[in-house]
Amino acid sequence: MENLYKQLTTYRLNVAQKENLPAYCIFDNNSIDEIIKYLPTTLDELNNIRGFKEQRINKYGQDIVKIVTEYVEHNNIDKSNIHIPAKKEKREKRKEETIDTEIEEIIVDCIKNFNGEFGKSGIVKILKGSDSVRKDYYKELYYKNAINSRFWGYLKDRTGSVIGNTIEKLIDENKILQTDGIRPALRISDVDYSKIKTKKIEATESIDINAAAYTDKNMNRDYHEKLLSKMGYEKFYDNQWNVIEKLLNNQRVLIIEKTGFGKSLCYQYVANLFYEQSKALAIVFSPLLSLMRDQVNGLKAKGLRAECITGEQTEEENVKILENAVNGKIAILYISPERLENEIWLKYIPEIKLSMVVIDEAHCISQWGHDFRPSYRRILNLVNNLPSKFPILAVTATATSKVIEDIKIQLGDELEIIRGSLYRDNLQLHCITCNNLNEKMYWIIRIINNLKGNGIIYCGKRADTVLISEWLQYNGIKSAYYHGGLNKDLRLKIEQSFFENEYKVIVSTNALGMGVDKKDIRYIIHMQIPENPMSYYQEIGRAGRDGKLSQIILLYSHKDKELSEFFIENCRPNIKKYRYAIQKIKNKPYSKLNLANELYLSDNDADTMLNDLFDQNIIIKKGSVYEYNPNAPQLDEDYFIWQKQQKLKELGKMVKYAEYSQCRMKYLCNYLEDESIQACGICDNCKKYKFNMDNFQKIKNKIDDFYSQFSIADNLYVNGNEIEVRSLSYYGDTEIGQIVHNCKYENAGNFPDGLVLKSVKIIKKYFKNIDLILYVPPTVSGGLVENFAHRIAKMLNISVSDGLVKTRNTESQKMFKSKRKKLENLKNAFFFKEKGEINNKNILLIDDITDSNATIEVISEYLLNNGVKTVSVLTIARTVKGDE
Amino acid sequence: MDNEYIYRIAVAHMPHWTQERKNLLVIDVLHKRKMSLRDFFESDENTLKNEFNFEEKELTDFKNAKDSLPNLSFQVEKLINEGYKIIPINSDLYPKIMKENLKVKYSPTIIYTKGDVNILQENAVAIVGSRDADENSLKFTDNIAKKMADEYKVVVSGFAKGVDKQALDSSIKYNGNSIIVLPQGILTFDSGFKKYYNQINNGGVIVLSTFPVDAGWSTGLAMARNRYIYGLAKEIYVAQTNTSGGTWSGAIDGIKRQRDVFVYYPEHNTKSPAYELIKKGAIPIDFNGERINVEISQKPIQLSMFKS
Repeated sequence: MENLYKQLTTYRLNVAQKENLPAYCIFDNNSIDEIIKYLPTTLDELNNIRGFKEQRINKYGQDIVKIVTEYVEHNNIDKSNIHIPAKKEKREKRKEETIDTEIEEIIVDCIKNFNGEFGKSGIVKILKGSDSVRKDYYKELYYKNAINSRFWGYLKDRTGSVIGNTIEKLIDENKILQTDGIRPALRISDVDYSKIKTKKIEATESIDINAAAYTDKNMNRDYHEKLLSKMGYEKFYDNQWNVIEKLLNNQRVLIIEKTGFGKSLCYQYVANLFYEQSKALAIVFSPLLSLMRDQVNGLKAKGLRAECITGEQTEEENVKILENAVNGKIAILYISPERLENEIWLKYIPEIKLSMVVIDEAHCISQWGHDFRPSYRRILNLVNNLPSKFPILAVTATATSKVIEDIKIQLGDELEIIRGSLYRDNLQLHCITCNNLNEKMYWIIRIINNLKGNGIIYCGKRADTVLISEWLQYNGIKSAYYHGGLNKDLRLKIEQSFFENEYKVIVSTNALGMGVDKKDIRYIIHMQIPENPMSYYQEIGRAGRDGKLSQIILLYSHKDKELSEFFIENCRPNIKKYRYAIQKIKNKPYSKLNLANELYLSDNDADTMLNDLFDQNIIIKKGSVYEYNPNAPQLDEDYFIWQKQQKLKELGKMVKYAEYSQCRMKYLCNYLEDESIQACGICDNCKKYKFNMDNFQKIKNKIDDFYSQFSIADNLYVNGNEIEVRSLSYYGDTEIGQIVHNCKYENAGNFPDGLVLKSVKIIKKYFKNIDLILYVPPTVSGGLVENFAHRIAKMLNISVSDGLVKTRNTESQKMFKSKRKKLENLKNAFFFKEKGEINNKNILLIDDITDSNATIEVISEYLLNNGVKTVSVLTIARTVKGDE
Repeated sequence: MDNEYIYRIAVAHMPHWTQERKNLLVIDVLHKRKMSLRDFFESDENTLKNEFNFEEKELTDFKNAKDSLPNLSFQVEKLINEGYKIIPINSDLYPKIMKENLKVKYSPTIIYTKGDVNILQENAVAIVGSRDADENSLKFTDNIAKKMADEYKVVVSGFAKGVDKQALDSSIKYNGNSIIVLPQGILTFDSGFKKYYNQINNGGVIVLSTFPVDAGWSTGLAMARNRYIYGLAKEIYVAQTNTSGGTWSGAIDGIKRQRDVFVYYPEHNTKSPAYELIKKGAIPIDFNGERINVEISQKPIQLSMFKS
């Protein structure tokens, strides 16, 4: 029935989304269970399904009946044997259940325990222990009666109405009293109290336990706090204890708590306890290498048995750790979700005694999460197949109700959700509206000069990280740039230096941060708006983990929205390529590289496509090879459209934040469904700050100076020779980029003198001893670059040659997305006749725009093979590539 | 159902339990008591003893199986992720013919497959014969496979040398459908999955195994596998046989269960094993699979059956 279940939940999710309601409000899982059981194919039959009355039938009836009918027809199900009991019949049956002295006893005991604190619905909620309890009663109860929580979920298997009916019956019989008031409360009747035999419920009785070691002792907080002291902590916070208690109960728990809650302590403690009791091991899935490393080192320092398995360690090291795990020598094992693909891991796992599974950054499970990861789908498959009485902890700091609902669907109804306030009182939020990049650069200098401590500037594009970092350095501020395109060693080095406060600022894409556990980040500045408020909340959440006041500044311009929209619109390759790829993979397995080559895909596009196909269960991944799933569903193209719409909607909410005029913290918390908070009183809106552009002209002049000397380096290696490639600017949204575009494609004439002057400045600064200038011959026609090179040569008084020519026509390089294809396109296409002219010379090669450096690479290789001593390259602009 | 796989697998591979015992337990829990296996696995020792009549040894088996559940979750995840199907005995996907043929006593409690599961519900025939069959029998096998492809019937074979391999190759050659019944766990068939990648994905071949997923090939499993080849087929075509061994006993068992067993009888040699089969009730056919008339002298001989 899995199919129908999926269809119904998907339908429900879609409707919920449209109506902006939690999914369970559309119809709940009990209804789904009954639909699957009784397969109603008419509205009349649906009327007998639990939860469906006139209103729901009118709204969703047709759709549901259609889904079920199709399912029944498709699977050839004979419905003649299925009898759908009328609601009345079911009620009668429930009434029979009501005659149940056990319930009476428990209710009385429970009311006695909370004497006068709760009314009928409160008691029902306590005894049913469902998650809807949270808002009204949960917190209150837990803070007051952490230990008394033995009632939670005790009567979960009975319906609310059975408990309610019983309470009414008890009231009727005068065994309990209902006091008057706005919130009627239940008390034990003085008169009859003694006559009622109350059943003493021991903690151990109320819990169906699995672990033999589970005893009364296990529910005793004092006992555990004594144990905790061995780990170097004094006591649990109430909420932490709450989580621990549930895990000891073999429950599935989701915690949504802000940074600083001590989420890790919860599972580390429990894992250690389980290990002490039965030498079993807890697996922690974490997407962040650096975080895993830190945690393992921290735990080891405390003498605990923790390890991690990563691709950074050698295979021997990993195998050794797995052998130790098999031999019961490890309490906590951190692994990345991708590890599930690893054959070595799979070889050992059947032998390891397991105690618990922990999923860190659990929002990645949900397709509603801002960074849903395909590898997390595998965790889901795993969790769905774990035994029901096996503790699972999912942990996240950011989740909207949609994400929570989705996680709940995935992890099952029994999931206990513990949610704290997301309000961060030490973050001072600001948003400054700017008209262009120059204004943003102005603000950065003003802000940073006024702030103490270290911080992060987040940029949307990799190219911007370089520009801004250079700009800061130009102003004497120590900074470094960081993005996913840098090699691993360099990234590690920068992370480390950042930790040690070697840089005042790191300018980064969102690649930095997830795993950085630096407590004293004092400010976070965004150069562009992120795609949604959830990402924003997560990124700014990295500031001020030490609880001290930290500054959060968003530099927003209206153009940001267009840029983000562009990224969202173009985040996927053409759908036809998807279909083509499926056909290909159906006939033979493909590696990413091969697929990218055959379909003319860039690396990023190939990644996106393969992830999508994997996510839709159409292909499977075996090591580095992708195979077809023989029982694959059709490609769900609508999902892409739907997802795009969602993203645009979320972007709209982020824009709204930027343009908001009331408390910003409240806006964010409300977005994340935390309704509880009041205005923060410290954000720019609460404080009614006005941002004036004092001294703008002075800094603007400095920006101009900066640009006049700014160039981008991107060195190449050809046959072991380093080729220095410098560009005056990025192409695209820059002043120079615009000029190049106009001259090249809009017939605006030769490149202006300003560019010649700047080029001369850069050449003098970076390139010494140039003997001869060459330029890249044009693909079609035109003498723009020739003219440009000659003017530069004249100013520098260096000779220039027109001898570099093309031997054949080539396709425009723009046609090809991958560098491999570009290189092929140009193979043997260049020629220099008078070899003597270049022999043993230091050559400067000039071009207008470079993208992948393919042209430069081919020409440099040719020149070096033909006697040239060194090659340096200058281009006017460089495209922005490989941006996340 | 979806998340009961681990329990299904745990029951299906209880060591030393007979197939019947496992199947009866599943029927008892799911059908008679309307319980889920998930709930059943939460039963305490007393319930198992008193209500399910577990013996001491069975209690130990059960406890071991229960302890292995979290680990099985990892295995199930791998299977699902790599496109395998796990089909428990009461699933709609389970081949009906298997239950009809093998009944509660011998039907595998769980099967693992890779390929288009719809093939399992088609009319299927088994083409069986020895590993070292002669040229003629292989040609016969080729003819039958072609005939089956023309009639849209599925060819079941056991991926052994000789007739099995010929049946499969010919079925693929004539664009027919086939079921490969493995003498090993399904996760140990990587080379085969590579070889038949195209057929598996485009609906010509489904691979099926009844054994624990990581079990390697063994003679024992190969013998046990024969029963499932016969179990999946409506008709049985015997290309070449000896008067003992898996082919022979399977054919005899088929006759006993009143199924159509066709035997290739080219030489009209009353000393041949084929003749013995015909005497037992097999239907003689020629090179092209057409029935032929054979005079039978009445002298019954005692033949070995499946041991039960």
